[in-house]
Amino acid sequence: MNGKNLTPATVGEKLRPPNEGDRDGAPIAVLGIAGTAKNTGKTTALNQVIRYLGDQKKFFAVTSIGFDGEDFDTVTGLGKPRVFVPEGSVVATAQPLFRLAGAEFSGVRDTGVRCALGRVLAGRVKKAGRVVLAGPATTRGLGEVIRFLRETAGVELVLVDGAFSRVAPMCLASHLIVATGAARTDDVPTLAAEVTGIGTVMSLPVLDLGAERSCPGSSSPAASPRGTWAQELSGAHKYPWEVDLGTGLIARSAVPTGVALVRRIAREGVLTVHVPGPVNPSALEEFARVLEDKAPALRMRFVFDHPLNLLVSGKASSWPGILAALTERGHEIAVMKSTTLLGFTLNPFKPAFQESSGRYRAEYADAAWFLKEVRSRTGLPITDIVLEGPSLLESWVTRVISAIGRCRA
Amino acid sequence: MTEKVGGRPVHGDGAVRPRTPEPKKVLMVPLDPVHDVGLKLIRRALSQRGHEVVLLPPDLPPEEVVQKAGEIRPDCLLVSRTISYGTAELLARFLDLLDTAGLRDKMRVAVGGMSIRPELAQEMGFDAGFGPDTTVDDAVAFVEDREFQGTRARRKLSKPDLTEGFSYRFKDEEIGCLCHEVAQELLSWAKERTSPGVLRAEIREEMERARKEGRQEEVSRLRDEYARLTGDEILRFYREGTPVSHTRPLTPPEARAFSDLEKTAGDGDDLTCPASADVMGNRVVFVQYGTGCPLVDSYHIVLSQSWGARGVVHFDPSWGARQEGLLEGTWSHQHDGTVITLDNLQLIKKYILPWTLWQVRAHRGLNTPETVVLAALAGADLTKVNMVYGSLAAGTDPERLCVDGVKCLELAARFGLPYDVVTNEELAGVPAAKAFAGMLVVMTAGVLSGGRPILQPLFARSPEAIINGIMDEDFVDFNAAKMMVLADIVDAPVWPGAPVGFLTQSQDRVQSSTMTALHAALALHLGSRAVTIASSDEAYAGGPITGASRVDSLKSVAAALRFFGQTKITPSPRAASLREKLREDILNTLKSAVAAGSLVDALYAGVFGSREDGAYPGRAGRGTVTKRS
Repeated sequence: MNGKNLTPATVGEKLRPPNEGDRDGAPIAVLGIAGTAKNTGKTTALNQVIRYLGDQKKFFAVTSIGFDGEDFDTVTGLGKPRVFVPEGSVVATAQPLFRLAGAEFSGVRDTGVRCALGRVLAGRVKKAGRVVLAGPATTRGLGEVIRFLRETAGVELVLVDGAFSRVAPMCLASHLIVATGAARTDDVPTLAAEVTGIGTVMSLPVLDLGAERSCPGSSSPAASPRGTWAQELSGAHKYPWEVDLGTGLIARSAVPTGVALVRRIAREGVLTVHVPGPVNPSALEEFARVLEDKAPALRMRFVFDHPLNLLVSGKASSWPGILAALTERGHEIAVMKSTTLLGFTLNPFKPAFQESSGRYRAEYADAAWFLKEVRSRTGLPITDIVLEGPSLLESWVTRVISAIGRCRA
Repeated sequence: MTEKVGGRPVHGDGAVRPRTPEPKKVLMVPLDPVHDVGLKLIRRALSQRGHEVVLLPPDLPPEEVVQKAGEIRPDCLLVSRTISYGTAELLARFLDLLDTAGLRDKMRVAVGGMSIRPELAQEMGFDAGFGPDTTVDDAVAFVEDREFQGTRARRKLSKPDLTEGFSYRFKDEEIGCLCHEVAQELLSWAKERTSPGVLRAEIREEMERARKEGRQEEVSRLRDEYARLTGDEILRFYREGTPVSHTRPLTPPEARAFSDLEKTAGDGDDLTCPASADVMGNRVVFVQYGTGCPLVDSYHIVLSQSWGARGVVHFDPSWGARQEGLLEGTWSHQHDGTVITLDNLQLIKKYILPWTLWQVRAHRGLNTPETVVLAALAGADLTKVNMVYGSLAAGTDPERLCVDGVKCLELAARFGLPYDVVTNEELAGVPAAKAFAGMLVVMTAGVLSGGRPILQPLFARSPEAIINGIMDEDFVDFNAAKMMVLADIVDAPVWPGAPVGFLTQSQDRVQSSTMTALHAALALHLGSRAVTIASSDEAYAGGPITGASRVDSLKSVAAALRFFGQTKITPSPRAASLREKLREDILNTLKSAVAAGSLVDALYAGVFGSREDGAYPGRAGRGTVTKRS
């Protein structure tokens, strides 16, 4: 078994930039609002999006992968913005929270998904008002809720509110807004490096699966070489050409086993390696380094399920350097699916813990300076919606609405 | 099983748990430098139930834990971690790792630790969160994917009957005979007399019946008749609608707030502190409310029930005891005490859980019979009657209160409302023996009227004890002697109060809670069926009683009950001599009462408490008793 038996990758033919509105053909857009940390302004951004959609008479559903809209922060005890939903929108939240809502609902139904606070129900708002959001915690759960909203409530746009720095379920989003700010760090170079890292990862090219699947010699899974990260897997693989690195590449300690596996399969040419789980930048860097050492004639095409898989372990700021170095050395990086990153919102607020009182206090960076500095260091779409107003954010939402229109057409 | 997690008492009901349908594979992860004690406790319980448990060493990096989880493929993953700002982010990141590794959907994941609440667990992305009051049973139930046993047990809670199993038979025949003599004379005497209070109670009952049946003309006629029997200020309300001073109608925003509270109050399935409630078990701990505002009262009731209170006591304004007549409608009072009206009581009733005992007091003042009627109509479970206390320490004329009190005993019997016979005249300086003698006479009259009275000795550092140095050594012996002497005299239920610990508490909330908890534990361990406690700031509150103080006291009581467990508290030999002295003084008081010719005369004569003691026969309602025509 060697690399010549594998279907070679041809850069450019099978890769394309992240695309909008292509979610398995589903005429639905999912706008995720994730954060790089707690208190970075997710709820404020969500409220602006909701208000804008209301102004545009665009109906939508909203849910959360965490808990949002409460009066006080669950960790700091500081006050939090509340979430208000307009008439006609659909809310998916935990059953006990319907009781607390100021909004009134009709047609409340069980989505079949549970969360830590109970069953997740969905209902249409018949009287506008306040809601507290708590929805599915997992990717699968979120997928089921989205499907329910699409099939049962006929919703074309779902807003998914994030929690803490959690991003994994956001892989189901077609579009993403990332909230960041001083609550993550008020050190501008560090924050800008992280924003750049996220932007770089989110712009990784998408592998064209249609082209890949049609490659000669790859149609029969039985005839295809495959491996696993630590042991041979008995289950069927989705892609017959792959070397499957099991549940991800997150620990340097496991690198030698993975390298040995790859070397059993190929020692030269270009080998596609599918890494379906989370990826740690240091572990990937180490993997490539050891492999280059052991098989200098072998080039890799690393394929990850989703760019967000690269943002759940290690520092996002490491990625630009590592990805650039890998590319320079002839390796390729791609993802199976992606999400359109619309931009970042920046929040100067940060909770500061006071040892003397044992409580948190609200502190703020200088908003104008903070935005100017971060923006100048990243070159990415970024806004402080309190400082600048919501126009940039609204343009992002308009893109989402347009994507729905294109899908429908 | 009696275990604890995070240093907190836990479920110990000894209930037989359902068999596990199938053994589960459980991975336990202390994502913490050292804190794995809770996990070890849970591991023991899970192993005993046949589950396969792997406990990882503390403080592994999340990435390594995910790798282990990928190898082991557990059904459940239990994480323990003390939460701070940064660690919450770390846990959220950990769940992202599990999710992207494809493991999250194949296992249920819970987090436990100090500061963990379900809302925080939800926000971090866990399937469940176990805070400091979590029991081992909670965790086992989560692993076995079944409803928490304790929750089910609580759902089955029913209202205890504090009087069940008591015969009211006098074991001390000498005292029993004397009590009967005084009580029977009282009942005969009162039978021939009436008062505006008695008449208003009869009218109110008839009026509410007419209202229920839609006989509006009859309601109007009875309302006029009622108004003619009221005092000046109440009469102005009935004639002109003028509010009584320091009262105002509830406002529309307050009504809306009631509606919001109704949404959040729940049905008791989501108690904030189930462990506290579990430790309390069937031991009924009453708290008192009466902020003046029915809405705030309701908040306090919801809060108290969440933290284990099984009984609530309604406090009314002191002016209500001096006015002839009660108001109608929903009213807020600007000072202590919540106005007793049927509407106010019905509002409050909505927030009282099915298993919570609700007491509306009718032990003093000029409206006691009507209060019993309203309590019964509103669905209260208990009332409070004691003509001796109300006459000597609460300002009501003895003759008037004896007539009204006997009517209360009749009404309570007819409505099936048990009542405590309070002895708070001790706080005015009346010796315990005299107060007990009065209590025993009222109890006897109650039993003769067909009622179910409950003895309520004062558990406190009373003036008598302070002046005579009775409690200089400790706070146990005298209180124990009170319980012992009552048990010697009669087979009747005892419910110390009200509240326990009076004059032992200070402005320091820790000290106050501790004293409350120790008194409550002492009372419950000495055989009482219930106990009434104050919030930690109640004794010295310069303003409104706070919710936090209520929680202080309830948590302290739960902790004290957990601390003593089934251990018996044994008083020193001094308690026996105090008991003897009490018995002798009770006997002498009753002999003097018989010699006085009647309870009313004995009250005026100071037999049950003299001016020297600190008891002053009240003047409110003097001269209003008339012979029945």
